[in-house]
Amino acid sequence: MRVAVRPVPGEAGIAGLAGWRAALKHRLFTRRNALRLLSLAVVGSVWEAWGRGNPFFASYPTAIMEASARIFFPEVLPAFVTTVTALFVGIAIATPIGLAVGFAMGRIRLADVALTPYVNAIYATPRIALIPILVLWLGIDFNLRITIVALGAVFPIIVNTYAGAKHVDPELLDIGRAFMASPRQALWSIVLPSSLPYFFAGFRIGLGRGVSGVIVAEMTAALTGIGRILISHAKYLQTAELFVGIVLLGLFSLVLMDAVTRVQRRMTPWANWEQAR
Amino acid sequence: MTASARIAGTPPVGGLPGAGRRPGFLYRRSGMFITRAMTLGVILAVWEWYASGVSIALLAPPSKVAASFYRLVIVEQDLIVALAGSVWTMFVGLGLAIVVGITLGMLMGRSRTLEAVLDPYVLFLYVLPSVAFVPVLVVMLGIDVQLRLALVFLSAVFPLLINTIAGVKHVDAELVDSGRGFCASEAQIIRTIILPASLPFIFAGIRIGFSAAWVGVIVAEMTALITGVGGLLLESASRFRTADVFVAIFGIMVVAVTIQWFTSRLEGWLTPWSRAALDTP
Amino acid sequence: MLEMLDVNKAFPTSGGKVLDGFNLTVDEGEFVSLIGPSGCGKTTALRIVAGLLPPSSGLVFVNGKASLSPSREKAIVFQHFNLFPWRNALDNVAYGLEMQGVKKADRLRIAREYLDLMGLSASEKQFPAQLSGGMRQRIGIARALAIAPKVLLMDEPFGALDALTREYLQGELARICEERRLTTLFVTHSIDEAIYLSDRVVVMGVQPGRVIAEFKISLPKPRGAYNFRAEPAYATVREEIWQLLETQIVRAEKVAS
Repeated sequence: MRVAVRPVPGEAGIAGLAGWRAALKHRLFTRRNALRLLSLAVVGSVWEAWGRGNPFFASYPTAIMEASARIFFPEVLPAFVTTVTALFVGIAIATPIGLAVGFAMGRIRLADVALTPYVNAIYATPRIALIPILVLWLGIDFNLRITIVALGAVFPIIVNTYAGAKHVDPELLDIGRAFMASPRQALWSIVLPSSLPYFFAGFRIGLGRGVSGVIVAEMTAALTGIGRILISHAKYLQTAELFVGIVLLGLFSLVLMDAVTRVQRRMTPWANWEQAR
Repeated sequence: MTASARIAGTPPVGGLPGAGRRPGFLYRRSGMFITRAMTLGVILAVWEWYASGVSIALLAPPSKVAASFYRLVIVEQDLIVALAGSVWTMFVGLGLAIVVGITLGMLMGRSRTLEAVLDPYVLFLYVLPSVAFVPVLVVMLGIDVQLRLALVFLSAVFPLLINTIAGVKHVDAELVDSGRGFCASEAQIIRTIILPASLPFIFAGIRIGFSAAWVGVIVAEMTALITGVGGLLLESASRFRTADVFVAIFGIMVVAVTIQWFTSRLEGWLTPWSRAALDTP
Repeated sequence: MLEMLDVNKAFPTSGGKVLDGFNLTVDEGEFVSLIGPSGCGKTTALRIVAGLLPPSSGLVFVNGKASLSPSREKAIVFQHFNLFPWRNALDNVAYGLEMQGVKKADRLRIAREYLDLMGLSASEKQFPAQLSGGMRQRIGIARALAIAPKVLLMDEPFGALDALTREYLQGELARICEERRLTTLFVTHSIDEAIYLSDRVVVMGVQPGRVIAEFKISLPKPRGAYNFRAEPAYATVREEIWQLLETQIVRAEKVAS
């Protein structure tokens, strides 16, 4: 008999994160970590040496650290706060809408047939293409940023919730009927829990798209936020400051994705277990 | 969504009230077509009505969009030229990303050492939104054709890499044992077992990477290098020619949807033994 | 033909020794079943013979020569079939030959022969996903036989099949092994299956993991041709084996907890 945890193709990278951290906590001093540390040390040193000769190209670690000490609290932190606020508001708007629409499409055939082409088409379209029109309608800054985030997050949530709602195991529903569950009971006790893992998959993707959305919006059309900082430092070739923003963004994304994966594992522990053969 | 559509013969059991009221109509091709045509009609009608009451600088009605479409596609062919340029860039960058991503992914999947050495960077760059690369690339490469290619490459390579690694690592150990039992060499094992077995993961990577590549092109064109269909969109927007903007958006949308359709079919074509192929009539 | 000499196997992670002084001989043309409670290490022993697992110490001889890694003279059939889903039936059967470098035309011809032997000629071009469990295992057996091994190793090959298919395939296997005088080591946890198929049944114990008893089955073959279960000799030997196994099962539970 074998029980294995098998990530679904496509979610591989992100799903690996939470398991990674657990392993790190339990076995910090492994050969792999030593290799990683060594690799980082080597690359860091080379970067430092080369960067001092070519400071404008990619800066270098000590310059970046010095720049971050200088600009973090006055500049980066407030920008980060406004970016994250726009992100969370946008997600908060997108999630209930995505759940409702996705669920409706999954269980009501008419909604499914009518809406699927539009959902697919808009989902596939790069959001940056919609920014000029949205700027005309919503102006720049807060409303625009929230809308881009919401547009990015709502479609993966719709699509994944739709998949979950549509493909509830009919045998599980049969059990509900055999034990005389009312439609409402069936909904709450079978359909919703069954669809939850799918929702989480969509939520995670939506969160990622939300982050990239708010950064794009800030880079192209807004006056505040991390994206704006990135652009303005790039314009003046202030590479060290630029990298401060990049590193912060990367770390933030890592932490965010990890947090979501943990919540997901906590709330739907059965979703990752495979049947023993 | 396409996979679900394939299973779309089954009415949901225990659905909300109203489900399955007319079970036959909405499951037939004709029924689905009529419903969608009617929905489109309604949307266009509402759009036309609302836009006629609003300034054209804000929202162009479908009639004007259709006229723009005619001009840009048939008469002056600006859209076609622009799209061609963008699509071409995408394919070049994507091709490079596929080669690098899959090769490196296979190597990293088989070698724990290589994986440990490279994976801090891979993971960090994977979660970073690809737009964040633009300022860095502008500083490094300047505003030139390399910027477009670099951004497309960077957008597409990470999903491919990560998924290939996952695919290689999740090849059923017992299948590898079968090969070893028949005295297969390491090279034979990689070629005859690892590669075919990790194809579903690789295809997932291609699907994501392909869409990401298209986004990368548009982002590059709209932020740094004003050419291609992204540039066309931006220029039309700056002149408040909303109808043209909609045509450009439509063009981008068409390419994006075509990519989706193509990649979901691809797995069925190239792997005749997979569920993707066997499920399709 | 096959000899395992003082084989020991300990896994670093689980602590104790799984195999402890394991000795077993299979003569040429003999069909030997290895039976024991779950977790006693019989699959481990088989994999060591197949060369898929190195022993901690001890030796394995095939045809008089030391044989601790996979070789052309050994072929293994797994419980979960382990067919390659991306190859059709014919290509799966031809796999072993392909790894040995046999030319395409030849290996396909040989593969066809063995596919036909298992009664699956009609399914040549089909993929495992399109075939039933019984058919898949027949392909697994054909794949092993196709390389004309000196020793056939089978790890509970019928364990994943339904009871009717299992009985049918047992009969087929008995017929083929008898016709070809194959030297076979067959791991199972079904006493009935072991008695049906074997010339000798070897019972394995737990803690220490080694052979604790051997039973020679003298019921005449082919055992499918008559109601062998009605023979008194069958009932006796079955009861003896069961008594022995029962104590081992209790031991195995104690060890596991």
